[in-house]
Amino acid sequence: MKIKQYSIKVFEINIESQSSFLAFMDKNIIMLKHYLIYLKGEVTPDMEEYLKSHDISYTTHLNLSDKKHQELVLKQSDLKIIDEIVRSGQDIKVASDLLILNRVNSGAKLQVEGNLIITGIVDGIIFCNGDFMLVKTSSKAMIVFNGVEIDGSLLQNKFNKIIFNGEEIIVSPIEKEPKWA
Amino acid sequence: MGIVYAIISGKGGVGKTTTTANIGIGIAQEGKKVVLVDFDLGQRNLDLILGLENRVIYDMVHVMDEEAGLKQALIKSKHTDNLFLLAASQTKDKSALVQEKVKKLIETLKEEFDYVILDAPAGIESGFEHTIMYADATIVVVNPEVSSIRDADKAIGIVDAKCERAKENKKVQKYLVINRINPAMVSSGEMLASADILDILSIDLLGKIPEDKGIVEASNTGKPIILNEKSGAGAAYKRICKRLCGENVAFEDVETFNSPSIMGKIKGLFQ
Ligand SMILES: Nc1ncnc2c1ncn2[C@@H]1O[C@H](COP(=O)(O)OP(=O)(O)OP(=O)(O)O)[C@@H](O)[C@H]1O
Ligand SMILES: [Mg+2]
Repeated sequence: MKIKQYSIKVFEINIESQSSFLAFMDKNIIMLKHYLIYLKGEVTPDMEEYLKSHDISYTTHLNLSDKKHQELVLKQSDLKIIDEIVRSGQDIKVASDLLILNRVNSGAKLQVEGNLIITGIVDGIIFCNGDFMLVKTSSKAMIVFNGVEIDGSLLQNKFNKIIFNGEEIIVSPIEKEPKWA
Repeated sequence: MGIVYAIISGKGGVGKTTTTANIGIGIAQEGKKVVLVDFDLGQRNLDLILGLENRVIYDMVHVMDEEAGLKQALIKSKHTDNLFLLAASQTKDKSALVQEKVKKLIETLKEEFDYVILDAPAGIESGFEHTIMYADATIVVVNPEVSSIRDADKAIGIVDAKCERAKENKKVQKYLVINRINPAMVSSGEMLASADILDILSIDLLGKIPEDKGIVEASNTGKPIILNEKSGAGAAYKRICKRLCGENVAFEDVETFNSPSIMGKIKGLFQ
């Protein structure tokens, strides 16, 4: 007789309805694929089909009564992404974090409550109240970070990390050009 | 079914009407049926530049209000057979335009012509919005200076937000014409270089037109510069027309400054 031992993580899921279960699985499938799922409640044929087709290991009988568990908090990322050029005359207000994968032209204005990353050149006006900002500006840009206008000459022509640690604002240039994969 | 181009700029006086007249003639000379519509109500200009100022009896507002038929209002160009003008109203202003009527007019014109070219008024107000609303594509005219670029940027943003095609999630092609390039000023850094303009606006380049004194005279005499074989600006407009008709024409350098004479350089040495 040969005996092997594995340590695995188990996700215990209380099924409320087929639709909410399938929605949850769809959203988290990449993560859940690597674990054993312990299902409590009625497993319908559609759900079985789904689990099989995604090659997910699961069981409906497992005694975990003496084990400690952790509440799983699935973090909802609240990131807005803009994949278009921000043009003159546009005034964009965002309450969450913001990622812009293009340039921000002269005459455009951004007001961001969260963190901000812009991969293109900034010629416009930016107000950011987050803890973190990554930008590259031209001489025309105006950048106000947590109420403080950042000296434009610090930010030009290379990417800069700007952080607010609760007391002071620290601007540090990134010497190597990031490669946005 | 024809294609509708709106000629826009944001900032006024950069060369929309000049561009409309020249590409109208150029495309017609390529054998296409073209109509130019002057949307600059109250400030009509296109008839003058085409040398048709005293031929306007009915204008586009007459046609939209059904006071005249389209056939009555279309004015045939003196320069080429395939080109027609629908003039702007001189008395009524932009408040005379109603969206539904504009739509109907453009749909009718699209059935009759291969190219329907709309000359927009300056600015981004209601007259501008009427012009872009039913366009399939836009030609953005700029001068190599920051105020023109910024206004054009804004106008492009409005096209993307408001025009009918964009609302239907269809692509609205945008082409850039850089007008009034002065090679000496580009070399000395007083004018923006084309590469920087293209970077900022991020739309496709259609052509570059050099500054040309002949254009003023051409406008005054009603003979657009494209009819002048010797003009550099005329040749640049010809290349644009070929591109609009689907030909692959290489971009020519109109920016490099060739100093006028060797003497000039030698003199410079002794200064
Ligand atoms: N390449 C050029 N070289 C020299 N002059 C030019 C050139 N292009 C345009 N112009 C001149 O610039 C002036 C404005 O041109 P035009 O009327 O075409 O501009 P527009 O954009 O239609 O103006 P508006 O906004 O008022 O309608 C005219 O006097 C015209 O002759
Ligand atoms: Mg005009």
